[in-house]
Amino acid sequence: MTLLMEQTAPWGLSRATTPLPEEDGLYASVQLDPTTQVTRFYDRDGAPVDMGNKVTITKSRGGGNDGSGGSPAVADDSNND
Amino acid sequence: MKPTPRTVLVVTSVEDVTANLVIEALNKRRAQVARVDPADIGAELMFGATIGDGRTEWAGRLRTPSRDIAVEEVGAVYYRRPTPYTARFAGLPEHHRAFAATEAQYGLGGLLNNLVGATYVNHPAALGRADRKPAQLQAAARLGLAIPPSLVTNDVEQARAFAAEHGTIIYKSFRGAPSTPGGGASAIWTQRVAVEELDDSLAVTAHLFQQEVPKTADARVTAIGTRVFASRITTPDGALDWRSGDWEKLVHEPIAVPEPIQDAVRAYLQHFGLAFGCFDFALNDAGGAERWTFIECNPNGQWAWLPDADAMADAFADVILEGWWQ
Repeated sequence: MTLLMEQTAPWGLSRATTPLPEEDGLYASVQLDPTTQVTRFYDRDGAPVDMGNKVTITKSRGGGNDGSGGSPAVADDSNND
Repeated sequence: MKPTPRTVLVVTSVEDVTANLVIEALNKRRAQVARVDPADIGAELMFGATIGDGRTEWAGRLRTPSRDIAVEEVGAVYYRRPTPYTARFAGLPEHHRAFAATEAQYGLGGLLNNLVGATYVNHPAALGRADRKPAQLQAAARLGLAIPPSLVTNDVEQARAFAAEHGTIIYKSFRGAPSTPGGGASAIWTQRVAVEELDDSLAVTAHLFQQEVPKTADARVTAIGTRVFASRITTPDGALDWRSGDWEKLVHEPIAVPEPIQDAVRAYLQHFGLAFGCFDFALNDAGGAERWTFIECNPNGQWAWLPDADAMADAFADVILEGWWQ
């Protein structure tokens, strides 16, 4: 074998899709309801967005520490931590 | 009887829509819920707990902007999808980030994952064990489930020999593709592999190959406690991996799960110490009884898109509160 393994890309990654399309626009911000502990989603104008199960059927963001989104997206139906 | 002051700790990010369904089901039962993302550690999440001086269990407080709870009063932990600590500390220099993330994981995580008497759905340690595909396939096989012939290797010669022996083979990753440098998500869907596509770059890391299972449909079996929910899933184009297409176009139909499969699913959960798991089976009805082949079990899988989601959320609330809430 003559390949330099330190510089060789792993075979499996050659099977990955091109990056999935961004789905920004579902919501602009998310806030925790202090009473119910349920989170509520809002669009750029501050109007509530009914998320239904949209995030879970496509892909979800990993979650931002301040809850404002913008964190890396992950392909869904996978464990993230 | 007056409700106990005990709390359900929901460990997840604010963006987790699925957790909302379970929190709503818990609220209907008037359970006390505290939603915590450990990656909020800092001003938004303060904690302190002590042990010793006659105490053999950790006791103290955990405070978020909307909750102030006693860690010794946590009756259950619903562990979903918290933000990775590394994202929390992304603004720090790498040296500081690595230290802060690891210390938070081992210190705060070490506390939250060891609450005496709490029910965990699911415990992160159980998730860690159950989410390795080699462990999954072996557990399923030992419980009598049919599995596809599988090869784990970094040796291209073994992969070629496996292909020669098994005809059409597929490749699947163990964990999926990480984010690209630009922050986008890509996916590695289950896909067929032609033998000439295999090369020496297999040696770089571990790869999983399986004989393709002929199938007429998929089944998603969601086991929550002892309850089992199941849907037959078909795709308009007969895709090998139903996750790869438009989920809106998937066809879900109720399906009865044969008793031996149900028994194996429950035994599987028990084997890994899980309260919940999302099982994928390939179905093949070629002649006579439908054959169920175990594909994988995601111990922290998604389920909110399924037709039974409301009933599942109730089942989660039942499992989370069982034995301690009244």
